[in-house]
Amino acid sequence: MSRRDTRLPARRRRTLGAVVAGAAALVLGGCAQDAPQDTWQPAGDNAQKIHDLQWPVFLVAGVIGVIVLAVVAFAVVRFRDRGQPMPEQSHGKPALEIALTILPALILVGVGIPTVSTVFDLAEEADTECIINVTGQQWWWEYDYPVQDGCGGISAPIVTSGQLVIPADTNVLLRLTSRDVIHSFWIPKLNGKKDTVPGRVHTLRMQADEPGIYAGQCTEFCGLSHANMKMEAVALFPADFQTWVANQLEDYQAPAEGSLAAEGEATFTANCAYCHQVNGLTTTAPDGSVTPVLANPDEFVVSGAAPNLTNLMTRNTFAGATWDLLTEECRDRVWNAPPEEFGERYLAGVSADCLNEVDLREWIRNAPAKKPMYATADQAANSGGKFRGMPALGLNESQIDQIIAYLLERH
Amino acid sequence: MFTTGSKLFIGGTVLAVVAAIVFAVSYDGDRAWVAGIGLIAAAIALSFLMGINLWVRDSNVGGMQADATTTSAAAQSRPGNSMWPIVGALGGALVVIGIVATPVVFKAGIVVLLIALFEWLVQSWSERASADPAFNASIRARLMHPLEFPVLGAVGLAVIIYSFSRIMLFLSKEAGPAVFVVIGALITVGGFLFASKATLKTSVVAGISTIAALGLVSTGAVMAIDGERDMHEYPTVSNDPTVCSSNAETETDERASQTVAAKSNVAATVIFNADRQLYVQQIGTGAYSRVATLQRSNPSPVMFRNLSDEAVRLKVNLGTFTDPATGTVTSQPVTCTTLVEPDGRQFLSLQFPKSSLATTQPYSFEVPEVEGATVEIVVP
Repeated sequence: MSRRDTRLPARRRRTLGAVVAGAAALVLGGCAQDAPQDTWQPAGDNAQKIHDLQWPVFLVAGVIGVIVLAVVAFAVVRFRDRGQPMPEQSHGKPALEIALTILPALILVGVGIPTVSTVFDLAEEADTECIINVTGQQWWWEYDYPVQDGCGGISAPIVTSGQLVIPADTNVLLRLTSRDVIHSFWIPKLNGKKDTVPGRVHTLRMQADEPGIYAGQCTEFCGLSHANMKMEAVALFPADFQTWVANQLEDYQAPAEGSLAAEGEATFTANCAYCHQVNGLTTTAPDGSVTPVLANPDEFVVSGAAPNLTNLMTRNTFAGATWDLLTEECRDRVWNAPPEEFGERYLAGVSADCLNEVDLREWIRNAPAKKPMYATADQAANSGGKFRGMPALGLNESQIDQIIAYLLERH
Repeated sequence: MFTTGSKLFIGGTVLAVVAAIVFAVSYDGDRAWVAGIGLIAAAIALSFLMGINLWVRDSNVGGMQADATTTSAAAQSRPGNSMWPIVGALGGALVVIGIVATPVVFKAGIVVLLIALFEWLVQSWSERASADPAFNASIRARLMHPLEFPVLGAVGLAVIIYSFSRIMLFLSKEAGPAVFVVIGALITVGGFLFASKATLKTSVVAGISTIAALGLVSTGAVMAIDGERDMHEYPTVSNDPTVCSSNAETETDERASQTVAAKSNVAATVIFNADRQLYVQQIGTGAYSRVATLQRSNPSPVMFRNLSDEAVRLKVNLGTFTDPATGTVTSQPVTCTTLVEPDGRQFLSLQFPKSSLATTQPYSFEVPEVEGATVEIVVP
């Protein structure tokens, strides 16, 4: 046969080329450096345990897979039908069959022992140093810190959202649940994923070796904006964490009288405070009596909750961590900070210069237009008059200016 | 004149038209038009297929020649008897009855009708495959048995299980286990006897099994008609402030279960210990505490364990809400477990729609009539 005869037809060559290019793209995709949700880059003890397990298992499974594929490919090519007579058929080869039963069983036992051991290690609760409640709802996460001696001591409950702030190098236990449908909490660099189920409390250990921000994503399809239901864990040195705790528990600072922020406080109270709680916010009745402004999201939202905005500008994200509160430049400054400087930069919060006003303004103007939600009046009529997500409030640009000025002071 | 295929589609078209008319006349629900459009669309599609079949003579080129359909060997074999027209008629009857009576019968009729049509179609096709009836039967079996056997097996199993469940639900709580044991023993002994008598004729085994199955199904049917035994649900939770305020025994307490089914995965375990102190333990903390944090707007499963030597109940104060204008108390809801015996446990599912900020008195657990036995609940 001549050399020319052995070449594949042009069409097959093109197909083969496309397959090889696709496979190469997939393989090379695994080499990406900027991959904040890379499960192969553990940044904490728990994720490291998973990594230490999955790497050898992946290796063994990969080698076996390659061997099996190679043997199948060899058999397909070597013994393909060329019109040759049917070879002699045989049945049963006890020694081979027993060997092929025992070998996989041994491999599975070999994989099973460290797997079970890791599962038990990851379920350990006795060494907990800090407890945080995590509640999922469509389409954001709420984090509340109960009163405890752990976490360096928390004297009053703290409620926040968007970013889970934890002390670095500390064994944190998350108590996970959900208010509406099943979600799944996953920050790949810190641990595996865990479902959050209404009416059930699941636990997940969390520990970060170094200060920094670790990205995550809801991994259980939960409706329209599942893809926008992100989360970020922010690890701070324990001393910085204490600063953060103290900041969260500071008394409410009312805006200066006559300022734009003061107008924003009134606008916020009239439009936003039905659902969003700002601790310490009060209202004064015509008779001079002062009463606290209490949000009643249970009357307006299916999940019965809306993000607490008391310290909004201490976070770097809003709307379920879908958008950054910081401009890109300021965000990079925080995300790429060396560990020893990270706490200082993060605790600076969001200043007027660093505020991502474009996205925040669009969100306040018409939230459902920015993030897919079930939050129009027609849609709410299908769920007992309650919204899934934030509805458009019909605010004018002047009111939006006021609210942004007010929120900018929520440090 | 009409080919075999076109006859089938003529029948289907007529059926769809009749169904559309019957449906339009009998059903006046909001979305009747959806079914109407579906049935009319089916009629149009089936009539279109009927036309094509007539035009191309069932795609049989040879069929254009009269000899192929009248004198060929395959055309000479007489079709065998078929039960499918009768089954189809039964399905049709069920559809009509279901339209009048209940949707379940209507749906069952549709299923029976579709099965009959499909089986009849395959039978007709197989009987025209060749002039050899044995070969025709074999190709039908090759196509249909992989479908029929699993489905029939599953249906048979479901009927037996359903019949057995009706029997168990009919019997009293005491008789149920005894009958369960007797039937189980009979099946085991019967199976053993069949297995030990290798020479037993298959027909004998089949006959006995059939009689047993029929007996089970008919007994189940009779007991299903007669109905389930009365089952009383005894609540283990009360929202009556009078009941919750004391540890005096009430009628509800006498009957309440002292066991807990959903005891795993609780948000908090409230413990009343031998020193008449009330504490709470939450997941992740081994320590006893006098403050519990429960999430807002979320069902929180709570377990109460009574480790004291007296029967007590756990009361939960679900807030005190006042009218901000007048300062008067508008509501003060409570809930509580029934009396829990010493070493007993009980379960509550709590939901706090509003944070602790909204209540003028703290949310709390307490044991009535025991001073200091209180645990505060913080709802962030």
